[in-house]
Amino acid sequence: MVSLTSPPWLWTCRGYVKPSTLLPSRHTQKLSSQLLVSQHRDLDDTAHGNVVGRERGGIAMAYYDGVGPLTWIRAGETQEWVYGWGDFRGDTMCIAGPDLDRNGSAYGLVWAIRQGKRMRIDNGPVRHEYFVTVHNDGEADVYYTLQVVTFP
Amino acid sequence: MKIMVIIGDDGRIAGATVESPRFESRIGYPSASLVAGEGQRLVEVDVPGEMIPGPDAGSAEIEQYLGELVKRVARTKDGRRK
Repeated sequence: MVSLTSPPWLWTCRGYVKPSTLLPSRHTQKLSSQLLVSQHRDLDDTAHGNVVGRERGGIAMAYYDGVGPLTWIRAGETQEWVYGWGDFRGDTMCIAGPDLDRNGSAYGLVWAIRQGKRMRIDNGPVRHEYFVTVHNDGEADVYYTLQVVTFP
Repeated sequence: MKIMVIIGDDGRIAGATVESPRFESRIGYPSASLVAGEGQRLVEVDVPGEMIPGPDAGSAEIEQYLGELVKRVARTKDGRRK
């Protein structure tokens, strides 16, 4: 069971790498011969993990859960979100979706139906904003937050 | 507690944010906020924390909460605008 209060996880996807080649502070689990998931314990590790992923010719992605305020969406409704770090991320691709993890989230079928990215130069530093549109196609109202994956 | 309520183009409540300490922003995490979609309005209302239904709330409790939200939204300037 993943704790939502834990620091961000970094999922490193690449060809098979023996867990023993990773730093001992990380908890690793081999899911298949093609996918290795490495849990990092702090933000410095996350940044370091990105570098490790690149060095080995793979793709590194950071994962964030519980992003944004807990939100309630009625059945049949659509909600739009803007999210970001308030900085320039020209190379970064983000994908977000609804994070359904509570009892009050049962019986909803919630889609991330649109993703977007915008660069802003007004009222502040040059920065990127990301967008996601969430639609509840299920039969019940649900609670959710966002979960976000970034590459690299 | 201030929350954002989303009003759909038909005037019905489409949803609302529910602040919780568990979901406070964390260092290194992106911040996220709702934006009004096509035909939608976002209205900020103040509600007592104890009024917000928990994750195990039944449909009756949620409907009661919705009814109270409708009243509070109607009292705001943005909520009256159609």
